Amino acid sequence: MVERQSFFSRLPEELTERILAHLPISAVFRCRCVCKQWNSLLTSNSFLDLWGKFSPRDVWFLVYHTRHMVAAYSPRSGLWNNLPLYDRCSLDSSQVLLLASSGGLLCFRNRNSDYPTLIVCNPVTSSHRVLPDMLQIQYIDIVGMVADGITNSYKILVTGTPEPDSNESITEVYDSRTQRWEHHCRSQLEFLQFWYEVHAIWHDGFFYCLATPLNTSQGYRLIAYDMGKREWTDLNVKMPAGDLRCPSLLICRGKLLLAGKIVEDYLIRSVCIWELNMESMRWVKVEEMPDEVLKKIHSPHSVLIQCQGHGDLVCFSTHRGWQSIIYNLAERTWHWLPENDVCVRSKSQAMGRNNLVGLPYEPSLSARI
Amino acid sequence: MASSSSSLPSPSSSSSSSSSKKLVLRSSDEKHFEVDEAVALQSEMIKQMVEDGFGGDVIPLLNVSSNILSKVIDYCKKHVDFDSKKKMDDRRRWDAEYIDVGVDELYHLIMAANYRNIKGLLDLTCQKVADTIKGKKPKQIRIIFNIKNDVTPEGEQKIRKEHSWAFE
Repeated sequence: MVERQSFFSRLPEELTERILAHLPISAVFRCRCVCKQWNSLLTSNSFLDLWGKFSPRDVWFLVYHTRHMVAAYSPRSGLWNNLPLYDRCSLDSSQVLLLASSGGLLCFRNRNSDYPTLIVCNPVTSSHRVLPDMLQIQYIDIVGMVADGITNSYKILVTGTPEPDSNESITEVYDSRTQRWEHHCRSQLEFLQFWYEVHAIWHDGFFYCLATPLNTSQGYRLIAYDMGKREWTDLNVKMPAGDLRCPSLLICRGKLLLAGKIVEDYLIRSVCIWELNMESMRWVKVEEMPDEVLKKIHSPHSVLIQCQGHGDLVCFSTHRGWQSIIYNLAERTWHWLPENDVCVRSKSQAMGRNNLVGLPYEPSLSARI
Repeated sequence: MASSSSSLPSPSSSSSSSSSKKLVLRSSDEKHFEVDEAVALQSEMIKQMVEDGFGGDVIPLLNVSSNILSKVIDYCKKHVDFDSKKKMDDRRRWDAEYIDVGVDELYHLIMAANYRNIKGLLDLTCQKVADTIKGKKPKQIRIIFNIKNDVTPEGEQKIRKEHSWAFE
């Protein structure tokens, strides 16, 4: 008889490895403390490959950040994971801005340098890399990131200008396999001129983002960058009726969604989710936030509502970041996120409106910077 | 050839298609199990043997006892049915009930699934052990599986400090 006690000592190491490869990421780190053999096994390359194959797919919502950590909520475990990534990746949180996330990696921009520098990091392994300077772009308008799990590589798209008031936009793409920037295209389109550093979301060969033309009476425009054809296009999508504020684009269940609030006479009327109907090129309303939720999340002091999504889940947060709610598209239900203990201790740090992150993030032990 | 074990469920008795080709498996304790070829071929190891032109009447499985082999055959039979129906919910429910076994049996199932190379059963058994581990603290894991703690307090502190979020 094999007793429970001798379970792992009798198991060949390759099977121990195979079992541990089924663990979620937080359990992997806890198991590194169990014994020396597990610690060395769990940091081996063969384990990382297996883990990439067998571990449960987990996507966290990066809701907000403080000076020391990024607060990530895992819907699968129902827990907050507070990643102390600034210290671990030697980043000064007051000097960098989180712009994009893909395949277990985060992309930051250095805030206070004359020339914008991008930094890519894997927050759970704390590996990080400062990307080489862009070829021409000095002022960033759009940033998008897409990772390829098969080749364990990523691309970063930046659209911007060499001069602050230039009316010609340049698009450059960084490829982690060549570790170089490549010039992609020039465009003289008015809709490419917006405030700054808009996040573009990747879906099926295209980066999508919402642009604000200089003539703001036109409202937002949905634009897309075709990575194959290397061009930006205005998709001429009719935006939802009313004064749309705080819009976010999300990809859920393979569809492009829009979430935001409709304002009338400076008062909030509703917070809604729309889905893009690709045939009619119109936004179709999917859901409206119930009144009782709206009243709780949108107090007069919280002006900003941010939204992110993945799979069946859409997460709304305000800059009072500890009050977030998830809408389940499949079950059509609303669930408040639990309080984040760390946040309760330092509420003042989470108060600033620039502290919202709003990016889904899939933790990975093996994503290469 | 009939099963020589009367106390064990005969895998061949409830076979759905009596006309299909049969294979006979022999456990380490010399008991014989007649199974449909499709059921036996769930094992990549047996599939390889058959493809390589294994000519014998009986396939010997030297490392697998009759009670574990019987349980493994249950799994393979059920999954041949599932493969033709593709009902994910039924499969999950059946799997959960099937794998609700003691640690001792789990150990032997993992070894048998690995030896006979039955991918589905190996995933199921590994997942079951991982589920036991995943919500536990390092200390609890050491107690449950009687693993000697040879990590220095400094070493443990270093990992805890670097990945504090995983220990909260």
